[in-house]
Amino acid sequence: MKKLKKYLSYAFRVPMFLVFLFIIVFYGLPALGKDAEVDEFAIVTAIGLDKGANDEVDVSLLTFVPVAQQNFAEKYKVIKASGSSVLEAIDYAGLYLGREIGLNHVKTVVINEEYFTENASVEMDYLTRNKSLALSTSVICTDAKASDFLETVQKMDTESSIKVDDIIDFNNKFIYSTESTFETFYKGLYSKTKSSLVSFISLSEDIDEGVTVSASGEASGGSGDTATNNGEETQKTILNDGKSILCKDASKVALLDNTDMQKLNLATGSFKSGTIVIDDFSDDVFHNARLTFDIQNIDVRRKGQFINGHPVVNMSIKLYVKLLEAKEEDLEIKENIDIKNISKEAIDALESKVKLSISDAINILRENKCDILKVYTLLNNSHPAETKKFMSKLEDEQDFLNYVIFKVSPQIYSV
Amino acid sequence: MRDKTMNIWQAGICLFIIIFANKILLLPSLLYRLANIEGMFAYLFSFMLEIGLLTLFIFLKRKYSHISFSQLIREKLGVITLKIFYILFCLYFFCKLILIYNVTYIFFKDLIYKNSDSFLFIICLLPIMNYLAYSSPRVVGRTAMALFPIILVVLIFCTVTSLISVHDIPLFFQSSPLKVFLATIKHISSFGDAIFLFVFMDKIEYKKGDGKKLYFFAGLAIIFVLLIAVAFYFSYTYTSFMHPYAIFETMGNIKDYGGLGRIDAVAVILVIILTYFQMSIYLKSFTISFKEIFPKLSLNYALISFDFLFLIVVYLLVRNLERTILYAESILPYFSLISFVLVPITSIVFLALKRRR
Repeated sequence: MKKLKKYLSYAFRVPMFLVFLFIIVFYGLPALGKDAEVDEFAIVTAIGLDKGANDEVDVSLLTFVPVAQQNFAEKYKVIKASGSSVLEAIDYAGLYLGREIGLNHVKTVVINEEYFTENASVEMDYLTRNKSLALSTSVICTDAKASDFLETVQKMDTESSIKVDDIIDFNNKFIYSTESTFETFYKGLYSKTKSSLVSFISLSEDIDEGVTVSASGEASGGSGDTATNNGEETQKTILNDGKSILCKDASKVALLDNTDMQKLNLATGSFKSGTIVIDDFSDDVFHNARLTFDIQNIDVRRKGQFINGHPVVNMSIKLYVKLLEAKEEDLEIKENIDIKNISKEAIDALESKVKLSISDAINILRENKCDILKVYTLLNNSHPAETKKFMSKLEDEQDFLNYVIFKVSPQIYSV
Repeated sequence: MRDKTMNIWQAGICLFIIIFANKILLLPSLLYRLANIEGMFAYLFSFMLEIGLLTLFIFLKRKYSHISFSQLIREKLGVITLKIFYILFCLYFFCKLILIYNVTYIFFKDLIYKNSDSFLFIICLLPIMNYLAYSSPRVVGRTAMALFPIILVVLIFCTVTSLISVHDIPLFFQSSPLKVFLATIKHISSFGDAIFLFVFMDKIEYKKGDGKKLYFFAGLAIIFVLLIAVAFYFSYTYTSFMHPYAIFETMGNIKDYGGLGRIDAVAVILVIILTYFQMSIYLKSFTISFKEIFPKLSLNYALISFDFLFLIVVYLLVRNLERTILYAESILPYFSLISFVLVPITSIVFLALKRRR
């Protein structure tokens, strides 16, 4: 007892011990009586936005309700709600579920194509302002209803464990697609030509490619928890084939397919993996062959200059490729393919292909007055006075790409 | 006697830590909002003033090596001036403390505390601040010295990884010199941290040539701050104004985590350590100034007065980022007259008087 008293008197002399006691009494004990946070929240992993009736927003939330069990399983459900604003609709969804909606785990936002016919950033406003959602959250545009899309996604997860964020996670790695997040969208929107790219994923019943799942028929359409199927099972396919919508002022101006994206990415160099194909190629080894090269690395350097008042962009592209597939009738491998380098003719053909691709990409951008290549930044940063003078002469500043001369010099290396 | 002083290395480390105060979270984003990418010049101008303040301190320390700043004022300008000076110092340090608290509280609230009230954050911060302020300068210096390697390693990690992940170019030449000047003036209160050295003047052991060590630590901190700002602007370009917490956001921009998971948590650790030290050093400076105003009162009175005032002001002022920025941009710049006008002029006068003799 004496010893205890001694220890206590010593402990009370240490101010930090008193602080510790204070925290335990005022925060520790009440915390024991509180509900666990998992019991208060419904965890949302994806949000879908559709245009509703009477100018309302239909919000769909791919949600799971965490339940403390011995076996851990995330059972997802799509919760639908409508409201005059996104926030109001999310609040209603919380009301339907009897839980607070937790948006901290949202990785994907699916937006119906309809929103991109006008300024889509208006509906994105709440999601951008919300601190729970990172600006690195992926944004997808779809031709189907976002709610149907999320239901298919939920089914896909149950059937194959493929999640929607996994599907678009590699978009920035491949030459056929692009990264699409709030961040990339706004970066483009606040640039000179207010142009950005948003990934486009189709949901259809009659596509052979992609990830197909058996999904329920058209949902009942009402708000709340959609638990019932109202008809026969249909096969729905989610196809991320690299399509992207080109937006200007947050509105869609063009739908680019994966070949367009391939051309654009060759000019930007923002990818890590991809192929380049040349058809009808003939040299000493091949005759009318289709050669597929794997792009191992790309280095794009751009330099802006003014020649006699005309803006010129020099693009130097170093492409490191490896021939990985050749298709030709009666093809025989006669030489050691590890030693045999790509022929001079093949390099020339590849160079022409790169030049042509970039020329096509520039034409797409010129047509739509979208500066995805950040040409304005390049010219302005290197020659600010001349750029200002050049821009002042134009009737439409947004059309400046039409007056820029591009000089593309590709260099192909075999690895 | 040794316990009441800190050596030059410890002072240098404290200077290194304090230079980061309010410069690597909100400031880059706010400067971008006011002056685009040219907001970087606001950093450069303000750091030049900071180095000027440090130079004056080193000259003063060289000429009056064993005398405190308060003694100098008392001898040359009288007791009344001394009291006025130290009341202003108290105010200055208190305001800086409130600003650091506001910014870091909102940062941690967004990231960790979410719905918790400010009081929980105070409980985590105030006792340790009080303890370090209550201890002798050597305790503060030694603790800072012990944690300095960790701070340095984490800082290098954050800076290098942020710079490696940069893959964009911002748009230059969009601002005007006037905008840069206004941005500098509005955020001048985030600078002038070297002023704490004047308050600690007699508590720093100084030998010939020690000035270089102070320049080294100040220079190192300035380089880190600038690198973090560069990484931030080059990572987020047009959207820099949308990202309020620079060092955390630059880490969040890193695409290839290499299996490390939430790599941005490293930046949070750094901010936690820096905040504790910055607030402790400022509180220590506040208590020293308080003692000069009320020499007969013990240190406990200074701490208790501070705690009460702090709790009241925090309760009234700490609400959101909007209010914090309003406070930082419209009220605090006037207080910077103390660090960038009053103290330098007084120091120059003291130096001139010494030369005349």
